[in-house]
Amino acid sequence: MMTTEHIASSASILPSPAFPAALGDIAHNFIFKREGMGADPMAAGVSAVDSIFMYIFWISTVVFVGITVVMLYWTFKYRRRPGTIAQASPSHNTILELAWSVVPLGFFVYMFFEGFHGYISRISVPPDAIELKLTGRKWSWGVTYPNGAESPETRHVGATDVPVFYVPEGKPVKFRMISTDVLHSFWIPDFRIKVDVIPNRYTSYWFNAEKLDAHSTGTLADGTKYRDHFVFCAEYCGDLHSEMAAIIRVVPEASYNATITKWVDAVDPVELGRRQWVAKCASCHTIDGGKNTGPTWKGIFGRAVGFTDGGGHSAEEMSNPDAFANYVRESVMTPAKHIVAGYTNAMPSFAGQLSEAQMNGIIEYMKTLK
Amino acid sequence: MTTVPIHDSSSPKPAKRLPWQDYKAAHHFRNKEEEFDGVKLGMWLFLATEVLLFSGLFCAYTIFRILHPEAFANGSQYLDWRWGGLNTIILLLSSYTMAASIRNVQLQQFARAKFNLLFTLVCGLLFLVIKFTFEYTPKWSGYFFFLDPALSHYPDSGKTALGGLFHFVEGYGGKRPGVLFNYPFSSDPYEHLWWSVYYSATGIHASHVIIGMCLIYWVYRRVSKGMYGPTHYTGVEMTGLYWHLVDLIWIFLFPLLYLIH
Amino acid sequence: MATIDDRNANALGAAAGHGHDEGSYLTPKGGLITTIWDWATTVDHKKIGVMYMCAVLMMFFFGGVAALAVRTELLTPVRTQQVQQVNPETGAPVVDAAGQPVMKSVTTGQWLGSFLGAEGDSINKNNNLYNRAFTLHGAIMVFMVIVPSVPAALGNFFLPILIGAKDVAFPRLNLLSWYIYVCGSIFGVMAILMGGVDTGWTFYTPYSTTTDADYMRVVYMVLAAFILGFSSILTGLNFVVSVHKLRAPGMGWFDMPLFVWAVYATSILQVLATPVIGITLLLLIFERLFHVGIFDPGLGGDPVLFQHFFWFYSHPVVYVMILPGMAIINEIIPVHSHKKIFGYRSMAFASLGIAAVSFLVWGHHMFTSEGELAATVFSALTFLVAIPTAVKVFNWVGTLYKGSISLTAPMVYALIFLFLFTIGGLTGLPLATLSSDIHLHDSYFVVAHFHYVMMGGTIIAFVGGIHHWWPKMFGKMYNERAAIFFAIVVFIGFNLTFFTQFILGTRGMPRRYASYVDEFQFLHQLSTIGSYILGVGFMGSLAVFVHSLLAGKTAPRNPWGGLTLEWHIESPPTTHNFHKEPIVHHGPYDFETILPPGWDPKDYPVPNAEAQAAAYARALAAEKAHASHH
Repeated sequence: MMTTEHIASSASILPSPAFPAALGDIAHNFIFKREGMGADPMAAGVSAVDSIFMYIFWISTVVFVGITVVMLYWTFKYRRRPGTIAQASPSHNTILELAWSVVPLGFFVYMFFEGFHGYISRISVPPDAIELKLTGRKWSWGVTYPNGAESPETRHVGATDVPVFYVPEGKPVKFRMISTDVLHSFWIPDFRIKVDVIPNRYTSYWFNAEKLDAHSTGTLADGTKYRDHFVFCAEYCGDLHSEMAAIIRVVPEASYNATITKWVDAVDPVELGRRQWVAKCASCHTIDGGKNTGPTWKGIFGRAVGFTDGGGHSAEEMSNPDAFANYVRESVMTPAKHIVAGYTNAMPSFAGQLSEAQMNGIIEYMKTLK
Repeated sequence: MTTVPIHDSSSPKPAKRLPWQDYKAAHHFRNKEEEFDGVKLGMWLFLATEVLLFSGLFCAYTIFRILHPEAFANGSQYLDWRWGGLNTIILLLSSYTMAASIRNVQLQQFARAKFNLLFTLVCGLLFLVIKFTFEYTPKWSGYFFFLDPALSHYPDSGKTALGGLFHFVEGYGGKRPGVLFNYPFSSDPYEHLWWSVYYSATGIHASHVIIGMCLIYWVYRRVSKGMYGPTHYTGVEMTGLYWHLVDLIWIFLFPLLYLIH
Repeated sequence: MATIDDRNANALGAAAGHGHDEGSYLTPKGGLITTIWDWATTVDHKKIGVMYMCAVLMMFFFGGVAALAVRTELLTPVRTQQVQQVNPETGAPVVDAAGQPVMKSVTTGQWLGSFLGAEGDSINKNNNLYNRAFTLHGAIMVFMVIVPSVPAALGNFFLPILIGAKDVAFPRLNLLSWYIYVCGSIFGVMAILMGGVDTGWTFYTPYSTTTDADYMRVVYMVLAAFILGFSSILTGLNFVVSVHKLRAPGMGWFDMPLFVWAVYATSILQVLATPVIGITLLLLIFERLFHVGIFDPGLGGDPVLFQHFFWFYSHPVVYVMILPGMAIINEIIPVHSHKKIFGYRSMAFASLGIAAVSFLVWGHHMFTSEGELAATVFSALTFLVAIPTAVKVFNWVGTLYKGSISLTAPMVYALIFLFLFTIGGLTGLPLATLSSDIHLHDSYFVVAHFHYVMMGGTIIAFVGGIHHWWPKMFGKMYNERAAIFFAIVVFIGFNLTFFTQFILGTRGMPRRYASYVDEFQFLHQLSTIGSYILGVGFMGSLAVFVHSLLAGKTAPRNPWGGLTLEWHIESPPTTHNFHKEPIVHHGPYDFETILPPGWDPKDYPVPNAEAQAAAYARALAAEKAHASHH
């Protein structure tokens, strides 16, 4: 497993022009490293991607500089002078033309095979990988762990709270992915791979996050170090496409096991509801009174609501636990039936995606948001 | 361009000069022959685009047939190969009369040419009538035309429409593509895909039949006015090529939709 | 080789003979109404070409405005933060009864939202405006600008002249395809005026079949693309037949200017690829209207099938877009270097080779959604397409060797093209490579790559081509210093806009994002500033042309010293281009032996230059006599 430092030197052993390793590192960092996040490209196979990229980069640079220099030099050297015309020169040269067709082909064959090897190693899932179920929907990611746990943690990224998914360091992790609506694409830039998430068909994505070692970006409450990586949706999916992010948090295996056990143990309804909010609702409904795609949940219990079709519920009705529960249930299962005034019909139906306990949890959680 | 010797002296020589005798090529062509060759090349290219247009549908047919063979087998059972076969014969016949009309124009047999063109037109119309009356209507609505032999296979529901012209068969109709229509009688969850392919393919083909009929009518009018003759028959020939293509596509659609189960 | 005398006389086509109306094609036919009617019903390929050019430039302006809207939104990311409420009257921070600060959430960075009155609203509205803006930009630029730009505008004008014909094979069909183009554009504009669509120009299902935008808008937009496809087919068909049937006597296939070769290859692509998008878009319309289910996964259909269908057309169309760009560079470089193009035959075959292979590589747009085997095969085939492209670049640079190069405005554009297109081509390599593509796919790297090819390639070549042929088209010269200045402004703006996007892409910025994480802000702002510079550059070029029309010097027949047939005829050309059918006796780029028409033998010392010049003068005199006689 190679780290960043080795990538440049691995490129230089290839039949590419020699260059100082330091220059290679500078170029590599400039091209790939994001400031601030601090996460290095740390997963199995990343170095293969980076090294073929840097190989192509250096060859391209040499070719490009060569073409540009020759072009500008000749443009200057053979500039027009009055009274003279172009000197006689061959208008074609079979050997030269063959050479510049065949030589690039040689490089291309190498690129193709390197790319092919890297690709195959990136998509062949190791049999011992931990399988997590991942669901993409407009506009959030949800992960279900093998023990049934779902992440309750969020981090504020941009304009919304996005879920944080814990994964163990140094272990192959596989996502079995499906979309509930349109196409999405699951991309962790730091791991250099993305796979489309398609409705009606499972696709898989795996990675092996490298050990934390010195590369951590934060510390948990119990002092455990972790490293965060961004997840982005890379296939255009509508209004909040750009907010459809998540965080992959790499932690030591023991911490991972403890965390997902903690998440699933003895969850009270309010906490269960909060987790549903994190996983399925947070991208559109705030809990702090802010305006978003849907109405805020803050103070929703006991707040009068009016619909676009003129109907609605009074504050008294909304304070009645049974009427409120029915209202919430109807809104989640058949959201298009009534639209709250001031909003559009943007919410997908969650029928079949929530258990009774989860549904109840959401209702109980809403009641706590005074 | 092939020049056709005028053998047939039986047809009466026209008294006044007809427009085709004075036809000159457009100014940017060197002569009539080059113009004819150019138009023919253009027409063949256009026919290639038509074939490619339908190739998308054939592709969809193949892919969904492989993915859902049962749905396609179930769906195609609703099609009656006899109606499809009759339509095939009608189109083949019309192709023959279309070809004959070109020959007639080349031989100055204008009356025969006009008859053959009209005959082609009627065949096209017949094709559409059969398609709509005996194939689309019952599948959409459950109402069979009273002459439809398929009617005898079903118990008489007693419900009729349009003064007894159409008889309703309980449980037959509703075989339209798409969830916007009611679709209660499929025996396979993917059967609507079959109907989507069936209606897209035959519907787009039917629109080509209509375009072809318009062209034939246009050519008929021009033949009547004496615009075409042995030395200039570009319009008739190109319309003929188009009509043969319409025929050819049906020849592919017929076995794929009606005969393969 | 014929004698020198009849060579020039015939190529000029000016021998005395039958005469008809031979004024400039631009001469008005009467009053304003008559002239407008004359243009609206014209079958003259030159007028149709000019009308296409105006329409394309207008759509380019609208697409450009949408692009600037996109870049402006990305000036800052959309952010929601908790801030303490402030009393609007006293300006004091608000606290609650317990002395705790009262917080409220504030969203910033909604540029489009604040321009269009959705500020402070949910970020959905702002982002949706952004999505409409980039869809508008993509759909206009692809379907209404780049595809028709070179073939329909410059191709219509110059292809018949370059092969020595009076018109295209089917002039009325040509007019029809112009009206179909207008009709398609009207549908597109209608969809935009009704509020626009947010599907992206690729119309990927199931998003495009389910998106909640007004039901008919998406249908209109797709219909617009469908109709524009027909226009494209008819133009292509017309050109193929013209090249086959209307070449002047003496012009064999390998005597054709390379512009004609590349436009011919383009036309074949247009004819063979467009019907497939036709049926795809038709099925998409059925899907949207009737939910037929072919592409809808909810009904057992296959959304990836749509991608296959879509790219089977849209990949060849990438070459429909770039081949005509190459076509123009094929003309500019030899003419402005006075040098025979290097490797004529390999250039011609490269055009055809690119056209052929382009049908086999559509799957490289789908490495992240298709199977491994398909991805591998398509990756290998994609590298094949790089070979003829590389050959072309080498040949262009080789043409400069030992030339006599004048750095005119068109030549500056050609050099800019070489610079940008080389970057565009080379950055295609990591995208063809499987392992790096699955990182770069759908990122800003892809965005930058295709802008370097489509814009740095085709649009720059198109603008360069307009500079090259402007004197011929309108009979006026333009201010070259100003033209070169704005070319350099465009060059700087372009690189600032799009080079930054390569780095954004490798660092992890996905495309079609209305917002982004903080780390990307600096590069995004550079890119936005670059786009403004780019806009200024293009508006400046437009001003140069307007100035030329109003106050430009009269252009000579042959301002650059070209040898192809258009430089033998008047500027602007007469209605029928040639007074007599030209007979071609020399290759298009025989600069070392042929004196360019209208050039002084002292400036251009080729063998027999004096005799050539005398023959040319005689022919010109004959033509003058002919003109005054009528």
